[in-house]
Amino acid sequence: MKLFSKKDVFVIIILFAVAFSFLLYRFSHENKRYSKILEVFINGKLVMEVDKPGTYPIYKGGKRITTLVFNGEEAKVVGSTCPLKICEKMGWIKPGGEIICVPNKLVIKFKESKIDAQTW
Amino acid sequence: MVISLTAILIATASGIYFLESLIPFPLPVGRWGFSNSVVLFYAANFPLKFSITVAAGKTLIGGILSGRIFSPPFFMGFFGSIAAAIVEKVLFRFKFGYIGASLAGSAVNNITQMFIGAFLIKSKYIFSFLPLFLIIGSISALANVYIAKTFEKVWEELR
Repeated sequence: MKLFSKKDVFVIIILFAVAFSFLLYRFSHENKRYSKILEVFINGKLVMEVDKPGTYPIYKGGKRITTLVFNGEEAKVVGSTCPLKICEKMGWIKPGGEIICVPNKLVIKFKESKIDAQTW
Repeated sequence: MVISLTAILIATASGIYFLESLIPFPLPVGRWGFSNSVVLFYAANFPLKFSITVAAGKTLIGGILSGRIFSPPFFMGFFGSIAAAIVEKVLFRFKFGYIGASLAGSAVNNITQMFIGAFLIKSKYIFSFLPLFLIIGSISALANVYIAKTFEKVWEELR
């Protein structure tokens, strides 16, 4: 089998287009306004909203799965029960960022602000 | 001969799958995906059923070795690898080269993993990882071309 064929150029162009469109989406996503309220979703359902700095254990089925730490500006999780602790390695997130823990089906993100433009 | 080679290469790919988790990765989530070089080599040289067997086999054995079998990340890797094997085989049939097939396989692997992950956690936010995964996956895809070509040379000498 050949190492490179002229047809491979199509793959490279499509790959660049896909990556670029996702980056554009990400960029537009970052320009949204976010409140300083954190939303905690488990299995797609909103289970908690946090608006004050503090340390909040998160429970799933009566068992603590992780602990959310919020300093009023940024958030992180500590002491997760998942095997690889990827959610902990994500560190502090700012508005626009997300903490995702696939084994615990957990998503933590800053709530999007309803007001995205001011005319006056 | 092909069945013996498949068994040996599933074992090799499973070993790579397990050991590559020890290589530092620039993101908190994900892995390099060098074990996909074996799937790429199979897609280029053997019928589809063999490349799917290798893709499924290396993820199953790698999952057992790492203790992650039947966990959500296991299912993401399992379906991602199989999707990549199918896309690579189709592109080789249409006379694409190793580079094109590997880049497309890597992209399809990552995109499939994101869809499976989004389905499992019931959230679209997992897609925020995708642009970086596509970029890093392309680097791994090019390294996999080199590894797969080396397998091909050895296979041609053995035949």
